[in-house]
Amino acid sequence: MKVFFRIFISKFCCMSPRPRNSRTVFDPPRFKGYKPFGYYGGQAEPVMLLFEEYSAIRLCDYELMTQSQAAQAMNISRPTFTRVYEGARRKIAQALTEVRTIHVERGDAWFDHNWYHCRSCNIFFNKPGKEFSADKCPLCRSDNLEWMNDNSRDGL
Amino acid sequence: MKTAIAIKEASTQSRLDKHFGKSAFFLILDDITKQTEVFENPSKAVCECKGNMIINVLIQKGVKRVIAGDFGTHVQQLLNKHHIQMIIHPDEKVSLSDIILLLIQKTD
Repeated sequence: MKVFFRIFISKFCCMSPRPRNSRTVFDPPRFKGYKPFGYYGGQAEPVMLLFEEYSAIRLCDYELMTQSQAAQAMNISRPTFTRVYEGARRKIAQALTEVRTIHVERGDAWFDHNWYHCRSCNIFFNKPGKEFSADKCPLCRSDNLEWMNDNSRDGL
Repeated sequence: MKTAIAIKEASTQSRLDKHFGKSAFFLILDDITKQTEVFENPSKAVCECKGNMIINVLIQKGVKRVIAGDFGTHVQQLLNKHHIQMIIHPDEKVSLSDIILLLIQKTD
């Protein structure tokens, strides 16, 4: 009886939450953050904007997609997209109103294709197939590259 | 390999265009033969599906790599589908001649 009770407890009462799906981001943001100028007050804690939140703002407010289209593009459900988008807008509003810096952070985002950043000439490029090399920058041929999908990195 | 570069004017002194789909002209550079071809964006007068039209033209011309200041999400999806490499050059002030020089030097 005790065994059945334990199984019941473990199955139905202590269920762990469903793991979060990684959000698809098309291209990486080309900045590390934003900083206000002309303000001489004390520096407050920065606002952390996630890649997925940047992507949501870009898709909805820059590319003027509907929330359904944007959710489909980011490979998440529409209610989840709405939450991400709402969070992004609140963070930006907080940063503007409270005169805070914005730092970008990777979060759960995953790029749909392998993106690389050349630290020498500062370009971003992707590797759409095997015929393309990712050992060197296609423009300046530098090997000082950064893989944007690297989980060990945080931000740019 | 053929590379298409989004440019603002039809000259080698032109600047790189900020947006791929809305760029005025494209220059195609063949880094093996070193020949260039400039043509006007065929989707300039169209309001919608600009990406489809220009990408079809670039595929017909055998382009394998595109350079612009930015790419829209729809264009990125299409370019990924056709295995065309995207290069995002964030510097708006870079001139076309500098990019051509880099691409040609690369193969020397």
